[in-house]
Parts: sequence; structure tokens; C-alpha cells
Amino acid sequence: MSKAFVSSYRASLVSCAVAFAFCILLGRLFYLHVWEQEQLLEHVANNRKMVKVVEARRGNIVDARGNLLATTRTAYDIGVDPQAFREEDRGKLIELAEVLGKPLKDLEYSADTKTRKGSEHAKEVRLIRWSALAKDVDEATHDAVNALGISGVYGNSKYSRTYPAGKLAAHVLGFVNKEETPVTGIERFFDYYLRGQDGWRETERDGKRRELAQFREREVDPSDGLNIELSIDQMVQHIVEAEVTKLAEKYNPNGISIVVSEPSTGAVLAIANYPTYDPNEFYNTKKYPIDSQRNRALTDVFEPGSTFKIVPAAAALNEGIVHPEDIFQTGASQVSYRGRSLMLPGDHHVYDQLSVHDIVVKSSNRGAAHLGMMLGETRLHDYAAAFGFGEKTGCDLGGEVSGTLHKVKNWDGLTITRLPMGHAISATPMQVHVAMSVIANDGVLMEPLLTKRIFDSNGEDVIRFSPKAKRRVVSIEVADQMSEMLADVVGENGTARKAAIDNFMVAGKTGTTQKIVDGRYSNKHHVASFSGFFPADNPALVITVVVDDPKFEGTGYGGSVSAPAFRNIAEACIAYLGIRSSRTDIAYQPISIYDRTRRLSN
Amino acid sequence: MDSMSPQSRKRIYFLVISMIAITVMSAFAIVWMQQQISRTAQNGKQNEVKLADTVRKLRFLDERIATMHQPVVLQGKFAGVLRPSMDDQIVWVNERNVATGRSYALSAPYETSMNLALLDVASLR
Repeated sequence: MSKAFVSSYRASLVSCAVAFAFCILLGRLFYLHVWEQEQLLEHVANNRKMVKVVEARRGNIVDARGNLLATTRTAYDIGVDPQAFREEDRGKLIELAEVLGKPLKDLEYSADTKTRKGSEHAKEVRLIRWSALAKDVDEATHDAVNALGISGVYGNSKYSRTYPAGKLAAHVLGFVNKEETPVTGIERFFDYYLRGQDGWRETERDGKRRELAQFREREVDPSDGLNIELSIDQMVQHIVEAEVTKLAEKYNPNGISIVVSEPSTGAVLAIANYPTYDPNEFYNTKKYPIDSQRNRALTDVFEPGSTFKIVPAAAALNEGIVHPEDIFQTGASQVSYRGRSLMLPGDHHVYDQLSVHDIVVKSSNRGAAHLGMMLGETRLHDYAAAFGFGEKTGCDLGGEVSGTLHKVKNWDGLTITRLPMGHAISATPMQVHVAMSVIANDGVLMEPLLTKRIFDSNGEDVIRFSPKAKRRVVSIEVADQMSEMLADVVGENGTARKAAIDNFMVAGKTGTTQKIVDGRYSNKHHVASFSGFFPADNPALVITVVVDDPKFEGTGYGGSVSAPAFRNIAEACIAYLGIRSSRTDIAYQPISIYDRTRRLSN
Repeated sequence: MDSMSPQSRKRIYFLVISMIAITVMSAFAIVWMQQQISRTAQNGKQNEVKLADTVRKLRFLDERIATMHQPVVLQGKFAGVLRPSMDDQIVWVNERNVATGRSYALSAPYETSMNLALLDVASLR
């Protein structure tokens, strides 16, 4: 056995090198395990551990009958991982293009582009792991994509707010924008209850970022948002919106607001405006300008005009200073009031004398001015305020304005004669509606009730909203007297004959207000309004129709523009809600004028 | 060791072998348990996913149903098919001798039309 010669010098050198290498190795181990231990452990933990936020689902909004008006659905962003895409699936891209409704070229480009450049300075190239193909697709499309079984093509789910009813009650519901921020309507007002509370899960993941369920440590379930039940009735809302569409087509107005409610509870069955929008496409401002998102029933003010005459008439009766049959001399154009000579407003027809009853029925401006002067500034102002003018109605929607009712000290010399006819005051359609509801509700002012309850996923009440009476404005007797007068407004000699409904006693008041254009009252631009209720002796519904600047040959009177719309809505509601007539003084008239097929056709 | 009796030696061997066996078996048992835990967790997760899928599909159906039940959609389906009831149409209602001399059918939305609701029982038929 021969022994190889190794010089002691070389052997020492190799030994030292090996020993040095081991020292470096040990040093490195020491560095990793002792010196950098904390940071590296943290790094490992960060790579493995994962805190996953489990999104809470936003609650639903339903109508009074439980119909879904707003809900949260799962939407999918479909994309492709070019690294996982296989060539044998290329043929399936044609079907995928059909399912997604996208050009085949785009899909092929996404699948074939496997890298992208990083920042220009770094000149790095990164692998693409996700390339979006379609956004916000629904469940059915997602299932169809999955059924194709294309490797690397998959969808990421997310919650998306949707409004199955489309434009229906858009201004009431409002919408949630892409940033999950509620912008208007019930969505915003009740966001606290609707949004829910996100949950979270502390767990670990593997190298492919898949969750390792066995390492779940802590888990807090999300608490889904509560649901809101509105007093809105989907069918009544539809009836009203169909009428709004007809009015818009016929008169091409600047705006329309219609409110329908129950006088005894204040429950609002419908609020519709024109122009309107689809909350599913709130972002499409070309199709639906921002202006169309305004809830005009609450945000736009107008001079209520003759619809305001119920205030001085009811006030004078309630104060006991007049009787319905008392006569006023309405022929003179000038009167003396507290030592001053005042010009009275003009009437379309000059009557030498009118009773209080006829002042309301004929809608006499001069007669109303007389009533105002009898009441005096303070009482007239206080009654107007008591009817709800100059204050927000308290509707559960944002953006409501309070209108204008000037304090007495700010009145000019003519206000005492102009305010009773609905000038020198501005009000929202909702305020006019609430004021008319006072007469319909035996003299009690109710707060509009838009939300019936908030309930959980089991249907159990969390909060129930009750009708809220704000105050008594006039006595029951005065409310009855006013109802009788207003019923005659819709009678043969009144200004709202077109609001009459066969077999039903209807009460209401028209309003035709000249719009102020360039600082002057215009003879061409008007706001036509009608606010009324039926049956007059036992009111079931109050309906207010306000049409802003109808394009009409001649004057767009409330009696000719808004009253027929009132009648159409009322007749449809009678059929739908089964409202019974309490009228016994007339024989039943078969319904022939109103053709229900109009509602059955689209 | 020479002073140990064969019996003691056997006992020691038995003890050592038992310890090794128990250690090995325990190790395998732990691995098996880990696998079971992992499998159960995966099953639980799969069930969770299935449940979420079902709930999601139910909600999707709810949304579809709500869309299909919109008045506009429903009316579109029946447009031109329904006709209003005629004045001389015979309908049957439960008569009651009410003070007003009229008989009312039950009021239910979508079911009773206004033409049924107002029948004058005093009139000759």
C-alpha cells in the first residue's frame, strides 16, 4: 500500500481553507439564526400568515310589500393568468369571446402577453399573473366561463350594488358609487344600518397563496348589513312614474314632481321626479346628467300659488273670524289696510262678491288677500308655519330644503295681500303635499314616513318607525269644512274639474304660478300644480302633482295639466289598492271614461 | 454488563425497543393526526365554499326574480292579452245587504278589479 506524498504546507493550507469555509458557514448560520433571527422569523411569518378581510354584505332595501328595490349581488372580474394558460385551450377562446362579448383579438392578446416592463429606470421585466378580460359580470356569465374549463382563466368575486327595479324610485333609493360610498337617498341616509361590519380571518397560506385552513387561528365573522323596508309601494310608484313619463312626453316640462301618501299615517307610497336616472348607470352622465339625480320633490322650491290658499282660508275659519258663507266684496282693486291704501292682486274673472267658500272654489286672489288682511301678518305667518311652510318636512332623505317663509319683520307692504295667494313664499312640492295632508288628516300635521322598519336577516324588527304627528294645525270641524270646499273645487264650478273621478268625491286645489324670469313674473312660463285627496270624506290618499314649465299652448294651468294626471294616478290606485267609495248620494256610474287597457300596454 | 442477569438484560432490551416503538408510533400518529386535521379543515373549507356558492346563487336568483317581477316587465308579458271587464259581464260576488245598497268583492291587489268592487245590488239584473 503506497502512500501519496502530501507536503505539510499544502495539507495545512487545505485544512485552513476547509476550516475557514466551515467558519464562514457557521458564521452565516449564527447570523441567520441568532443575529437576524427576529427579522427573518417575522419575514417567514409574514409570508405564511395572512389576515383576510371578510367583507360584510350590504343590506337590502325593499318596498312595503317586500319587493326588492336594492340589493347586493356578487359580481366577478374575469381575467387570465398568461403563465397558466395552455396552448391546447386556445380553441376555447372563441367561445370565451362569445360568452364575455369581447373581441377575440383582445382575449388572445391578453393570453399571449406574458411579461411587462417594470419601471424604465430599473429596466426589469415582470411576469404577468393577471390580465383583466371583463369586469362586473354576473353569476350566469361566471358559470359559463367556468364551464369552458380554460386553464388560467378565472374570476375574482366582489360585491356589487344593484337595483333590480332600474329607474323605479331612483330618487328615493339613491345609489352607492364605485368607491362603495353611498351618495344620495336612502342608501346614504341609512348607510350606518345598511353597510354592516366586515369580519376578518387570521390564517396561513402555502407557496401558491392558497389558504391552509388547518392553520386558521382567529376568525371573526362578518356582520351583514341590516335591511330597510320602505313605505313605498312598487306598484304605486310604477303608476306614478308611468304618469310622469306621459306628462314629460306631452308637455316637455323642465321638471315634474309627484308625491303620493296616506294622510292618516304620513306614509309615502310614491315619490317620482322628472328627469330621472337609472342608479345602475349613475356614472353615465351623458345619458343621465347629474341634474337628473336631484330629488326635486325635496330640493326644488317654487311659489305654491293657489294651492297655498288653503292656509288663509283654514286659518280664518279656525280663528272663528269668518264663516264659509260670509261674503267678501272682491270687485274693488284697492282697499284700505291699517291706514294704508293697498292694491289687491287681480283675478282672471272679476267677481263683485264672493263667499269664503267661493273664494276657495273660484281660487280668487283678491278674496284670499281679504282673508289674509283679516288674519293680520302675525297670524297668517304663524298658520303658514304651522302648515309646515318654511321648515323641512323631516323626510328620511338627504338634501331637503326648508323653502322660504319670511319673518313678519321682513315683509314689505304688499306681502299681506300677496302671501295668501301663494306669492312671496317658496316651498317644495313635498311641503305643499304635507300642507294638503293636514286638511285630509282632520287638521293634524304628520311627518312624512318613508321608512317602515329596519330588520335583520331573519326578518325580525330592529327598529320600527311609527307614524309621527307633529302638531294639530286646525280643528277637525275646520278640516271638514275645508274638505267640503275643496271637494267643490273639483266639482262642476271649480277649477279642477279634470281631477274628478266617477263614483268618488275628490277634494283638491289647483295652483298656477307664474315663474320669475329676469326678475319679472313671466306670462309664458308657469308652474302647474294640483294637490288633492280622495275620498273627500274619508281620505285614503293624498296626491300632489307639480309640473315645472309645461310647454303648452297658452297658460299651463294646474287644472288642465296637473289635475288630469292626478285623476289618472288616483283611478289606477283605486283599482290597485281597492279603495272604496264612501259616496252614497249618487248612483253608480259604470267606469267607461277610464280605459284600463292604457295601463296594460307598455 | 457481565454482572447483569439475562433476565435484566432482556428487560432492558424490551424497554429500549418499546421506547423506540412508542416514539416511532407516536411520530406516525402525530403525522396521521396532522393529516386528519388538514383533511377535516379542507373539508370544512370546501363546505364553506359550497355554502357561500349556494347562498350567492340564491341571491342571484332573488335579484332575477325581482327584476322579472317589475311592473313594467309583467305588463309587457300580458300586454294585448288581457281585456278590461265589460259592463254587462256577469261576475259572482258574496252579496251582503249593506246600508249603502252595494256589495263589495274582497279587495286584494292584482286579484280584484274596480269593476268587480262596485256592483250596485239594488239595480235590476
